[in-house]
Parts: sequence; structure tokens; C-alpha cells
Amino acid sequence: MNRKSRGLAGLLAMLAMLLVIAACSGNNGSNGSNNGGNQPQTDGNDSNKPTPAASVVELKVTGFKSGAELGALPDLNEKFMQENQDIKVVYEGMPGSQFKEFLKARFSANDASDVIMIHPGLSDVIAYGKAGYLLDLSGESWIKNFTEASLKATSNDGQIYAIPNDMNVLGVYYNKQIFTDLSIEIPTNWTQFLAAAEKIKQAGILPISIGNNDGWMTLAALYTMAPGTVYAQNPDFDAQLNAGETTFLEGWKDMNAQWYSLDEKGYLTEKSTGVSLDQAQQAFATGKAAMYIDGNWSLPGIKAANPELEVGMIPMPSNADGQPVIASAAVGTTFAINKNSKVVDAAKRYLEFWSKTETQKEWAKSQQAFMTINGETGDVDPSLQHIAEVVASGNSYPFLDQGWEFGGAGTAELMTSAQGVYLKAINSDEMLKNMDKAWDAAVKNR
Amino acid sequence: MLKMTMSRKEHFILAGFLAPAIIVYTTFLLGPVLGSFFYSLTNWNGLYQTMDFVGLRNFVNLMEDGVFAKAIRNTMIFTVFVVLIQNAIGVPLALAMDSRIRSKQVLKTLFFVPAILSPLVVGYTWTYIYEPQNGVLNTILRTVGLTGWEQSWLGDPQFALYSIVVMAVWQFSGYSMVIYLANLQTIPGDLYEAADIDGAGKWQQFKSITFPLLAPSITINIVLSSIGTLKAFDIIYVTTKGGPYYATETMTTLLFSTAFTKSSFGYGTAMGVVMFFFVFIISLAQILLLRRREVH
Repeated sequence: MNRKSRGLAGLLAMLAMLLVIAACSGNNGSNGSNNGGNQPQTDGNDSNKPTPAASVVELKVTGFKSGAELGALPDLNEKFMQENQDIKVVYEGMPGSQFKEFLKARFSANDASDVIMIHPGLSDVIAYGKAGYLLDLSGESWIKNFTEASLKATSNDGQIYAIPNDMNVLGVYYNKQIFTDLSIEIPTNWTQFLAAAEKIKQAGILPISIGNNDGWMTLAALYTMAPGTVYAQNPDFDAQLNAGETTFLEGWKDMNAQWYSLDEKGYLTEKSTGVSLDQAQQAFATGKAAMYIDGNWSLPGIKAANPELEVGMIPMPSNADGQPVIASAAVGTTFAINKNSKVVDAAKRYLEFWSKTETQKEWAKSQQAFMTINGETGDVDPSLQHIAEVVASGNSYPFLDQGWEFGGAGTAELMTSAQGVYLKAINSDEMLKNMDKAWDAAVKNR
Repeated sequence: MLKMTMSRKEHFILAGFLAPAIIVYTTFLLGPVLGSFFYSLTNWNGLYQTMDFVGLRNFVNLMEDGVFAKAIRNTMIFTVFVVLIQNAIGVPLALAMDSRIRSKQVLKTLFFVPAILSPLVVGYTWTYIYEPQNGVLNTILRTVGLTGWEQSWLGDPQFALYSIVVMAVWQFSGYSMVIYLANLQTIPGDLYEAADIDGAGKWQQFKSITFPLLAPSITINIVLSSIGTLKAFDIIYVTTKGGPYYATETMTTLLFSTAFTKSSFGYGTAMGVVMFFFVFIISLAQILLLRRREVH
């Protein structure tokens, strides 16, 4: 090595060092912003009253809400700390898409936070509960504040593993202006839905905007399709699936074909495997498409993209003529306590705070969600009024994977294979066969 | 005697300097690697604290797994294309930077900058470039009248993998360039002077002097870029997550989704073990072959 190249190597080494330092300081920066406003407050405590500061416990909370989705979370944490000066809440949030993998890694490394926001259902919060990671809350007095229906999503065999914070719906957003212009009534069955889509298409507007770059939007669409078809005919489908008595191919064949007929008729975004959810949402918000299938949590985003838009949400009318329309509604976020937490008492007080009506009201409002507290309806956005009434009438079914023992395997394969059908690499039945195969593989690893 | 103790002392000091690195390396790398050999023989789902020993069942299943075969194929395509193109661009870039271009300091930095960006940043940036409706690439094609060339770059299985190849090449060609550049500067100038006097042209000089003497950096560049692309994950995960419908599924993305999303840790780890030997054998073969043609 001559001197010149040694100099270059040194330069490279310095660059590498610089990167490491940059990465470290980047982390600090994000930690700082996560702590939000609470940092100065505790610092103040430290300098003024050293004795109480010493007894301040740190409560680590992890969740799948971050960025714009945080809603009232930082404010509520702040309020909790005002009321409980001896607890300092440190919230760590990350986007929902990576959260499940992240959480699994943390739990298996025995490094999970004290309070954890977990997705509801059999393969998420209940699975962690059954695996012995979560504290049973059934003995707490404040757990009775929640509705029985919502607690179902977090309990098993008399044990309650988490509090259900909010109810979400999946449904069909529609552009009220386009519907009025083309004098389309709100469809209440599949025939009317197809007729509406055809009318929109004839008018030169895209009927349904969808982005399948990760297949999630088809997952959401099928979640809205199945309650009025599969589960209306066989309410025990999930139980039978878990017991190995039925398959996706048997139960979903017609429903899946029904969905993909929309693509064949040209009612869906073309080449949707190259389109992201954001782009699909944008197309709907700017009036390029008349309908868009997503959850209530997207309403703030849609309104932000186009404040002028007159938008409403209806349950997917996948049902046959004369059958009831069934909405897809489920608990959205839950808070559970890590059984191995060293600050269980603080964690319980945090959950008690979250069980109060006014906390939940503020939270539900910031998430555009419905409430799970007994006897409370909360302030529902007028755009969601129609679907809220359907849910309130009792015609609703949870998001499908919540009832699946191997939800991860089922949904992952659904999203991937759904792309295959749009790309004509496989057909609708083969997609369901793939899901059955993935399910079987997961059963083997039980 | 005194000399002996001195050297023993020296040994201790040297060992002391090495210890931190070795301890960190064993606990955080070697340990987990060896651990994964064990997990690959189980049916652990990554969640429960119990698991069964299943022998070689995971490996038998791998051999019949069509998706894993596709992932290997995609990994090989990705690696071959990236390594070849990246080095084919790296050498001329280095030659240009070694010449008397006035702006070469600035250019050097510009070419190298992508390599220090996080693959996440690169991934997100390029998804905007490739975006079908308003993306830069399609907009340019539209503006110059090539509407027929517009594609859903990451959403069409025909193009998705190659679109990511372009991203990887863009990111790391500058990195290869820097290594070639370092090597170029070790080649003595008198060789070229002699060649000039003998009447050798520029191409002749490149073929007979530059290229053979670049052999050490070719070895290191090819091995480094091969390992880097064989285990590339983040750049694919942020752009396509292995989709659409397995079109960009590589060993790493499949391993991740199998272990974490589909809760088959044992099976996923078995993929990791296969990949480990894959990378090991390929880099070993490369080093042995390429070393042979280096000038000593």
C-alpha cells in the first residue's frame, strides 16, 4: 500500500465513523421527539425537589401509532403524567405494517415494554396472552367500563389480556357528489352495487380506486366482502377453519370470485399492483374515482387531501338481494401489560386512566373511531354516520383474522397471492389453495 | 529471557486490544449464527417458549418449496446483474476520476454519496421515481413522447426485479469506484511512460497495464458486491416487499416473511442456514478463482 491509497483508506474509515456517529445522534433525536413535552417537566422536578424525582418510575409504552396517526396519544400521556407526577411515560411508536414483526422479536428477546399496544384477536393479543406474556386483567374494577362485545377481542377462557380502546370499521367510501350527479342511490345489495359501478364506469370515472403494491387493500376489501356472504351463511366458518374442518377454498370460493369479477369488469384501478395505498387514496380524494375501500382511520387523510370533498362511508353490499348488509367492525387498538414488567403497579394505573370515559372519548375522536365504553357513543363524524348506524343495529362482523388462530400466515399469503390474481399468474381458486397451504404449514408449527 | 517476557507482555497487550472486538463479535454474531443452526432443526414459531425437535424436516421441505426455488433464482439474477453492472461502471468511473478532469473532487463525492445513504432512503426515493402516474421516470418518458415505454416499474413482475437492480447499481457504483481509484493510484506511472515510448495506444495500455494491475481491487470489489447483493434485504423490503406475487422475492425477504410474518421461525431459520452456505461457498470460490489471476 502506498501513501496515497493509505490516505484514501483513512478517509473511508473516517467516513464510516462519521456514519456511525450520525446514526447514533439520529437515534437520540428521535428518542427526544418521542418523549415529547415531558422531558423538561421531569428535569424541572430534578432540580427543584430532588427527593420526589428519585421515586419517579419510568413506564415504557410501545404502540403501532406514529406520526399523523398518533392522534391524542401525546396529549393523553401528558395529562396522565400531570395526574400522576411519580410516573414518567415514555412512548415508542412505529408504523403498523412492521409492528407485528417488531413485537414478536421484542417478546422473544424478553425485551418488551411495560405497556404494549397490540392488535386484537386470536393470533395477536390472545396468542401473546396464551403464550404467557401478558397480565390477566379480569380482576380489575375498571375493566367493567368496557362493552362486553369489545372485550371479546381481547379475552380467552375468562382471562382478559388487554383493554379494547376503540372500534374501527372497514367500508366503502363514496364520493357523494358523483353519486348525486349520476343519481345513484346507496346500494344495499350486490346487484345494485354492480349497477352503480357500471353507471360510474359509463360516465368515464373509475368506479373503485385500489392500490395493491402490498396487497393490503385487497385484504381490506375481502374483509368487507365476507361478512355479508361467507359469514352470513356460515357464522362458524372461523371456528371450523381453526379446527381444520373447512378450508378457504371451500368457504371463500364464491366470495373471492365475486370480488375479482370487479377487476374483470374493469371497475378497479388498472395495474393496481404498482399502485400504493396513498396513491389510491389520492385518486379518490381528488375525485378521479368514485369509491375507495378502507378503514375509518383514513378519513382525516382523505379530508386533508381535499377539504372540499363530500364523502360518506357505507358497508360493502356484498349480500344477495333480500339479505341484510353487514358491516365490518372491530376493536382497533388494545393496551396490554407485560407480565414481566417491573412496574406493574404504574402500568395498571396507566390502563385505569385509559379506562375512563373522558380519556376514551378524546382518543376515539382523534382516531375517527367509535367508542368501546358502556353506554357511550362518542362524537362520530357525519361522514361515518351511515355505517355507524348499521354497526349500532348489530349487523356487524369483526375483521376476519381476529378469529383465526394462524392470522399471520393466512393474511400474509392472502396479500401475496391476491397480487398473483391481478397479474393473472394464478386464478381466484389457486389463491385460496395457496392460503390453505400456508395455513397448513402454520398448523404444523403449532 | 528478558526478551521473552517482553514479547509475552506484548502479546498480552495485543490480546487486550483484540478482546473487545472478539467478545462483541462472538456474543452478537457468532453466537446467534450458531444458535440459528439449532433453531433450523426445530419447529419453533417464534412466540411460544416451547418447540419440538424435528430433525432435518425443514430442509427436506425446503427442497420441495417452489417459492424458495424462485427466491434462489431471483437472488442469483439480482446478484449477477448488480455485480457485473456495478463493476462495469465502477472501473470507467475510477479511470475518469484518475484523469485530469477539473471537477473531479466534486464528482468523486457526488458519485460516492449514494453509498452512504441508508437503503431505506434510497428505496423510498426510487419508489417516487418509479411511481406509475406521477413518477419522474414515467413523466420524462411521457414528455419526450415515449408513452409506450411507460411502465408500472415496481408493480409489473416483468420489470420489478430489474428496476431494483438499477437502484442497487446506482447506489453502489460509486463505492466500487473508490476502491478501484485507490488501486489505480498504486500503479506506477513509469509503466505508462514506458508503454508510451513503445508506442502503445490508450486501449493497449488499459488492456496490458491497468486491467491486470487492477486485479486485487477486482477481487475485493466482486467479493464485496456479491456478498452485499446476496444478502440485500432493506432495499427490496421498502420497495416491493418481495412482490408483486414473488417477482422480487429473494432468499432474505422470503426468510423474513416466513419467520416473522408467517410465524415459522424454524423453517425461516433453515432458509438462513442454506443461505449462509450459499454465500460462503460463492465467496470462497470467487476469492480462490480471482486471487489466481492477481499479479504478485
